[in-house]
Amino acid sequence: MVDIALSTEPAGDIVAVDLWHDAVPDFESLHAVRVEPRRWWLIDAGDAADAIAELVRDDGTVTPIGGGLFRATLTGNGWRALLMVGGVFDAEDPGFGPGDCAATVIHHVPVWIVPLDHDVCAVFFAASYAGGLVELWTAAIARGLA
Amino acid sequence: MTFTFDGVAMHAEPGDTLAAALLRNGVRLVGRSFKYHRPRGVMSAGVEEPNALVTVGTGGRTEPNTRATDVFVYDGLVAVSQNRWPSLKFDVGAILGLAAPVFAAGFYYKTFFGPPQRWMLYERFIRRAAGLGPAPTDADPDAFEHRAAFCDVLVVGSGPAGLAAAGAAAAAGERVLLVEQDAELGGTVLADDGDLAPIAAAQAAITAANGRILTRTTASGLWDHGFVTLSQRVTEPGQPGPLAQRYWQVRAKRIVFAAGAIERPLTFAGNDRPGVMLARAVRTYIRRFGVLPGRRVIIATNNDDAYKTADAVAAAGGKVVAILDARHSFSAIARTANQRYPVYLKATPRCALGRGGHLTAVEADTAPGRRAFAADCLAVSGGFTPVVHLHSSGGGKLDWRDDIQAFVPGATLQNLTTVGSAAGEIEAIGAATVSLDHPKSSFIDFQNDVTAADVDLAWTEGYRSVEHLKRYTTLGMGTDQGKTSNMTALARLAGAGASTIPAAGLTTFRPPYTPLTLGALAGPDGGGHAAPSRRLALAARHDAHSPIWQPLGLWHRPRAYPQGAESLHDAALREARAVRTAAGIIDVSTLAKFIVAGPDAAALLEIVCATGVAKLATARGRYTFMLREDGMVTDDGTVWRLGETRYLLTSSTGGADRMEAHLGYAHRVLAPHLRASIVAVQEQLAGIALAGPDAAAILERLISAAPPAHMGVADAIVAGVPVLILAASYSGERAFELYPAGDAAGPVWDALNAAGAVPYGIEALEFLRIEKGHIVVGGEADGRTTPHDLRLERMLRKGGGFIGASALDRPALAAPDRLQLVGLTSPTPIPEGAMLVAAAGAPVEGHITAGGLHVIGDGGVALALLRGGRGRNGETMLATSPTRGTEARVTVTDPIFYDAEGARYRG
Repeated sequence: MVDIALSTEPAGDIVAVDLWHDAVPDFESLHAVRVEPRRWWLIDAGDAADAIAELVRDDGTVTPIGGGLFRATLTGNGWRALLMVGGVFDAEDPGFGPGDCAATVIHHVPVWIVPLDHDVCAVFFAASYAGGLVELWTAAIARGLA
Repeated sequence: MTFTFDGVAMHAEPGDTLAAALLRNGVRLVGRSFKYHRPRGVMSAGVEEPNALVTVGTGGRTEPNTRATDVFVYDGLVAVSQNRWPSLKFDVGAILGLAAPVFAAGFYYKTFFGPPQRWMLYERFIRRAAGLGPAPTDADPDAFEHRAAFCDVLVVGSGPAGLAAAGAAAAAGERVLLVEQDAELGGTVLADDGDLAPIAAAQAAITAANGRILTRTTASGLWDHGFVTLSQRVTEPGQPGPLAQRYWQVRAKRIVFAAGAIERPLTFAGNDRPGVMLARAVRTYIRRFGVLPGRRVIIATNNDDAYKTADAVAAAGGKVVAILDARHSFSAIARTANQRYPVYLKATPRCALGRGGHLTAVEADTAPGRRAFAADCLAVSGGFTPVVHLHSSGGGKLDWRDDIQAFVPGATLQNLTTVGSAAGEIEAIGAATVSLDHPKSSFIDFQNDVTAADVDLAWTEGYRSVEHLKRYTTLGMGTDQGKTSNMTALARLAGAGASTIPAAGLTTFRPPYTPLTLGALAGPDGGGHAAPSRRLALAARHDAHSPIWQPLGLWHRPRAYPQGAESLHDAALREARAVRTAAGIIDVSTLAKFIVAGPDAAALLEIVCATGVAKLATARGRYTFMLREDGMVTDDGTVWRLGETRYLLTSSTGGADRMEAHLGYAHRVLAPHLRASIVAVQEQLAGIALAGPDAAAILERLISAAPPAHMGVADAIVAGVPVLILAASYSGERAFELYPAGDAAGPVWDALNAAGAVPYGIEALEFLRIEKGHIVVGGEADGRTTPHDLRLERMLRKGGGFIGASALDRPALAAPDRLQLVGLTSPTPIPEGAMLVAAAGAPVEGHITAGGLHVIGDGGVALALLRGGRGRNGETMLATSPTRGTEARVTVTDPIFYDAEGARYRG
């Protein structure tokens, strides 16, 4: 039985941290997602953004990006199957899980897939795509997932 | 279950294919052939079926040319026969069969030629005759889905060999995807009463290893690097359901093809009659579906496999009238069978006789001589052809095997293995070339009514290549793609030239393996643009003004906000005049925006931008443009120094993705050592441009401070929302671009609107920018123009060092006849896109890139690209648009028509 629930909301406070080198700074309790070899996203960074900017002052830059992003939260064991619909990335790979991030396209929309738990996954995408993408996902869930 | 065929209600058992159900109900005549309207029945039990094509479903779910052997009956299925009028039994078109000698190979080419007017006449008849079942005219109401999958091993085919391969891979812990085009696993096991235990074992192993099994799923194509497309029928043709088909896009590390082999028919007179069937198909209908296709059955074969069919017929209560074996001596199986059935060696069918769409007798040559057998079913087997389609379409070579008279998979560059009968593990056959009594009624390609005589004629007329033969005769071109006819045709062609089949060659196998519904290719985007649509953060605000929306790439932007019955033109002109006389606001959120930051940010920008950047003072900005490596202008925008090491770069909406790639190329390839980051913030920052003589006053009221000077930067709060203010003008008036966060832009728009700024759309913006002579990427900067062509050369950074700088020295870019930016004026509107000529009929010297009107005042203005245009001020020319039937006399000027000194935007 494939079960899944979909909820969406503006992504909120997210900052992109770009580093000049490969060393990984200590983001402490912040939810840090490595989206590129030298780029990290700090999810729900909130007031910590300034502190992070100070932390990486000589090693990189900090740029707020959350205002233009949407976040979909997929709950249930069907999140992997849903992300295969119209996708090109192997979200069903058992090795892909919490701590990973995949930058890919789904239904031609650039997305960042961030597994949070075995049955919870966050997907980030530009806010302008939200309407169409959510519509396609909702329809796919209604049809039933393979 | 009940279904209807040509309106007659019939009964089917669960699991019946339509073909099985029709045979169960005694229906032998199922359709009419394409060219001669000959009666046709069910010939096979699989996707290779060339004869039993029907239309299934109603309304938008109508699916024509569906193989009755490849649709499983559901309650309420509606099937209709095709290519007949007024009825299947009495078809007026059958009279064409009498004219068969006229319609020989190449009839089309030999008949339909001459002057064009004659073709127009021919076309009417050709169009009417073309095709079999009519395509539906209603929209398809069903959903289709695209689905990706990855696996260690993809196994295509679930016969004994496929099951063994899949089971072994799963047992080794590999992620297996097993696909089967049938509704049940098992392949030939289902027809041969074979051992079903391996099916359950393989299923269990695959499931345990987290693999997947897909039935009703056909591998339609093998592409490069192990990429395989699958077409899955979730519901049967014409059947309502939440999802009709799923189109899988599979990336497999390893592929195993176990797609089996297709039985070949025999060639003799009347071999297309209903009742003449493939031997294995007869066996399948008996053993899998419990349907005996005939009571008196003759077997004609050149191999041992068909003897199993004799056993099946006998076991089901039918009479095996005779076994006609083309071989010259008994095989062990034939010798045993001869004790139960009358077996004739060196025996071949010569003619199938029938009446009213039924087989009644078969004339055959036997060792004692020619004789006739009364029969209602003739089961034929001319050997088997391995299914090599996917192997071949994936770039694999084919090898010839004499013993089975067939091609088998050879070398391949892909990681794939072919196993089982698809690899040639099939019955050897006795090679035999048989003369035909009636080649004109001995069919080779049943679907296209291609006879042995047609192949012979093509040879006689000089068609030696099998590729030419195919196109001349239409052989192998139907929905079956010659699955049952190709090898027979090759043999005939080779025989005509006293050659061999390998020498005759083979036509190219191309995807899809079986017909593919267009909806499956379109996927869930069907009906739209097969691309996502991007919605502005302020879209709801625009909707409140009922704008005309304009698609721009993936975006939709307000083109104008008509009031009452206002036309687009009138609305845009009103809005542009509001900007010239008071104040307007426009949504510019779609502009590409990049934060470029870090100690080396300026150095990076100076690689990308052709203008100076490093000397820009903090809180100041400037216009900039970018070149490709070849020196052509690729984009333009503005660059702003927000802090000591932090810049904002804007560029065109349409070039946003291209510019992101360009910046990445500059950083990662050209200057990876630079300590700089590039972050696209196109949607992080919504954009609202406030323009007009009242703009500064409006902004001052909202931010309670003096607005920044032209090309200055300020941070402020508008309606409680933090905004970045850039004092830039595109309209030619004093203007500001306000950038709040994308999810907080609404109140800013509302505040500006409430303060008196009128919303204006991109049509008004076009009027305004034309008057100012501002270029647009894709219009004036069309990929062929240099900075000099666009009069931007004085802004180029003298020291060079930017992308495209070295290319600008090429002599050709200084040629005097290059297309160069000019302005045009006229007392009348100037048609956009018009050609520029000296006089009617003279050579084209340029074209209008953008045309508009003076926003305030009379007459038309335009921007254009004109050969040697920079030296042609004052010339009069003709702007002519023959396709629109419009023209205007124009005068060449500098490309600026409003406030050339810039006094208005400086404020």
